[in-house]
Order: sequence, then structure tokens, then C-alpha cells
Amino acid sequence: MTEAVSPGRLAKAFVDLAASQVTEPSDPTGLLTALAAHGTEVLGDCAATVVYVPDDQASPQVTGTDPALIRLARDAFDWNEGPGPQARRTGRPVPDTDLAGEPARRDWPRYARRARELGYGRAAGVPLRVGADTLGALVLLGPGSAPLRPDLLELGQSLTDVAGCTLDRERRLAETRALADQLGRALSSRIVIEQAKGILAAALSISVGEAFELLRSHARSHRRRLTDVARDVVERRLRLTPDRQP
Amino acid sequence: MASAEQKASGARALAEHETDSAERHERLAGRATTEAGRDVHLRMARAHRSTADCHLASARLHEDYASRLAGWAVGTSTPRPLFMTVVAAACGTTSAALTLVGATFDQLSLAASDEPARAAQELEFLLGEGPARDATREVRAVTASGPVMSDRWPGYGPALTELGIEEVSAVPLGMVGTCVGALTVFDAAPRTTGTDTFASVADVLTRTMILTPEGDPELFGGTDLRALVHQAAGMVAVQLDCPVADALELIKARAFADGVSAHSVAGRIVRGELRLE
Repeated sequence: MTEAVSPGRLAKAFVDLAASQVTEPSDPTGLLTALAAHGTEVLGDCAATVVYVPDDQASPQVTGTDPALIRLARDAFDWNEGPGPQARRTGRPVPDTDLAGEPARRDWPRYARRARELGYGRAAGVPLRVGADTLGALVLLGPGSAPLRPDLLELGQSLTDVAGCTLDRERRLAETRALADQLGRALSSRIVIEQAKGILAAALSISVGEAFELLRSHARSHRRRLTDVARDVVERRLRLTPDRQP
Repeated sequence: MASAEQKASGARALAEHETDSAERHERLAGRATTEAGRDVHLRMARAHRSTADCHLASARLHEDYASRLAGWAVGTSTPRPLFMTVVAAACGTTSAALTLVGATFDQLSLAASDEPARAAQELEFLLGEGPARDATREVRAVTASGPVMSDRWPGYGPALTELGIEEVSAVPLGMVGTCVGALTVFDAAPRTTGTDTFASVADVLTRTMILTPEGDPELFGGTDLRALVHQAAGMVAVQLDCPVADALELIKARAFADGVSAHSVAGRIVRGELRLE
């Protein structure tokens, strides 16, 4: 029977997950590993695996406390079987399930057999929520046939929520930086185009409207972005001449 | 581009979602079996509540703007209401200015709620000193009133006093380590700048209008890039064979010396009526 979790041990798990530094939001391996490790350690004799799929194009990131479990979690994702994919798909917890029972054999035939071969009789999953999205799941596997205790599942969800919050924070940070960058570039581009219009208008004694047409036709015929052409004109790397084609 | 009403109802929906999340964490905190667990959920609940407040404030700004647009008769001589007038009102004033800056802190885009705010923003542009510039460079709030304005900004301060403005405050617009500009208010009611109201309006603008994919950094078409001034700078650069940045400084100096806007000097240059020496 599982011992009660020590409050100090638990506090450390929460703090670790909340303060975890994710330097690269597309690769939060450290945080996911910490989640699986804390899950395994805090949740008594259960084993924990984590699957995280940042977006539909990315390949799933899987962590766990031993290689056989990691392989199982990865295959589960490919098979679309087991509590991990189900929790991720539905955004809802998958309650404690008997891996030898009829529903598991029917819905997760490959997953249930492999997990039983590894010595696990029970499985449950909780969604990994990142902001408004469910991007993964924590799976708990229990040895033997005794049901997983409800308080452990709740604890698993709490741990997962903290990790999800950390991922969300990092995601927003990266998004904000990218947007600030993009905004600055977009505004600067428009200003450079105005400057280039002025340069061409003065250099060629044409109107600013004609200058803009000249920039645009040069960009089009050389398959370059208008901004790049304008920047070259402003930095005097490019001298345009009026279109003299017949 | 979404209308003000659409943006308002979108913001209400987001606020509701955040409130739901906050309530979920409050329930989890109530059921938590350990103090650490409870703390974590309460902290997350607070974060969601603060985001919910931000979306609600954004909804109120957009509702206010929608009702001003509804009260404005198309085709009359009154100009179309500016989103900045709503921002100013939320800050407890009629005069507010927004400036977006680039990597080198040069003004890229601007918007002002009324004539005094526009004039003050122009002065900051011409003189290269002022509260928005300081707020973005130092990434902190800047407030000055009366004689302190002249001590701090020898050119801008006295000119602001001449405009009849007695107090100015600016806060940076940005999130964690990124600063994209500043919001400046002039002669706001004492209570607004004294408390967090002003900073929280700036925060709402940043999070729901400027630095979000669903936002509208052009504030419903109310921002200006000074296109004419940059065209004129390009022309002067050719005429005097100098870098565009230098040409821009010449235009600013001429405008300040003549007591007119850079826009008006630029107009004369582009029309061929003025050649800078």
C-alpha cells in the first residue's frame, strides 16, 4: 500500500515545476522530465510518463522514468491508444482503468498488453493544459490490480497543472518577444519605403507616386521584397533609373 | 479588421474563460491536501483573475469606443472619433499620446487623443527629449510637473508649459523585458496617475491591442507614421548628399526654429517650395 506523501517532498515538487526554467519553449525537455520524475516519486509506487505535443506539426515529446516506459508512451501516441492520447485528445482526465479489463482490452489492445507485460495493472491519465489548450498528458501506471487512489490522481493533476502553467508562461514570453520584433520590423519597413520614395523622387525629378511605382516594378521584376529594395535605395547600394522600356 | 463591438465581445469571452480557470484553481485550492498544493493553486487563480481583469478592461475600452462611433454621424464635419480619446478618458484626462519605438528608440508610430497631446508629442519628436523617450529608454514610469519639467527637459519642459500643460506622466508599453513604446498622459486627474490606473491602462493596451496576434497596433487606423516627413528626409538626403538620418534632423531643426510642425516643413519640401541648406 502506498504511503502518504510527505508534505516537504511535495512542496519541493511544486516549487521545482513552477520555477523550472525553459530556455527554449519548443524544447521543454527538462520540465517534462521533472514532471515525470516528480510524478513517479511523489505518487508512491506508481510510474509516470509524460507526453507533450506543442502543435500538430511537431513530433510528440515523451519522457518517463525508464526506457521501456518511454517506448510505451511513444508507441501509445502512434497507436492512439491508452490514457495519454485519450486525455490529450479530450482534455479530460481518464479515470483509473483496469488494464486486464474488457474496456481496456477492447479500446487499447496493444497498449494494455504491453503495459501488463511491463508489470502494470492499472492506468489513468490527466490532461496537460497549457493556457486554453490541452497539449499533452501525464499518465500514471500502477503495479498489480489494486485501484489507483483518487487522491493520487488529484495530486497528479495538480503537478501537471503547475507544469502547464510554466509552459504557458514560457510560450507567452516567446510569443511576446516575436510579436514585438515583428511589429518593429513592420513599422520600420514602411518608414524605409517612404524614405526611398523621397530619394528617388529627388534624384530622378519625378513625383513620389512615380517613385513608388518605380520601387514596386523593380521589386517585382527582380522578385525581391519591396522593403529590401527600399532599404538598398536608402543605403545607396542601389541606384534605380526610370523605366525606359518601350 | 474586427469592429470595436466584435473586439469588445471577444474580450468579454476571454475574460469569462480566465474567470472559469481562476474558479477551477480556487476549487482545487480548497480541496488541496497540502499547503504547498493550496499555495500553487491560489497563485494560479490570482494570475487568471488578473488576466480576466485585463480582458474586462479591454472590453470596456472597446465598448466605450463603439458607443462613441455610434454617436458620430458619418458625413458631418466632425472628425471620426479616435480610439485614443477612449484611452485618455480611461486615464482620467482628455490628452494622451501613444508612441511606438524601434530598436534604436526612434519614434516609429504615434497616436494622440487631442491637439495638446499631438503638439506635445511633436515637441518630443523635434527636440529629441521628453517623457516617452525616457520611459522607453529607462523602462520605467516617468512623472514631472511644474518647474521639474524644465529641469529635466530644458527644451521640452518650458515648451510644454507654454502649451498650458502642468503635468506629464509616461509609462513604458511592454511585457517582461520587451519595451515597444510608451503611453503619455497630460494633466490627468491627480487620482489616476497617483494610483495604478494609468499603468494598468497601458498594460491593457499592450496585452490586448499591441502585443497580441488578435490586436490592432494601428488603433483602428488612428496611428500615424509621419510618411510625408520621411519622404522629405529622403529628398533632402539627395539634395544635400547626406545620410537620411541627418536629413531628418535638419527637418526637425527647421520646424522647431520656425515654430511649425515637421509635417508642414516636409510638405513644403515635397512640393518643391522649400530647399534646406
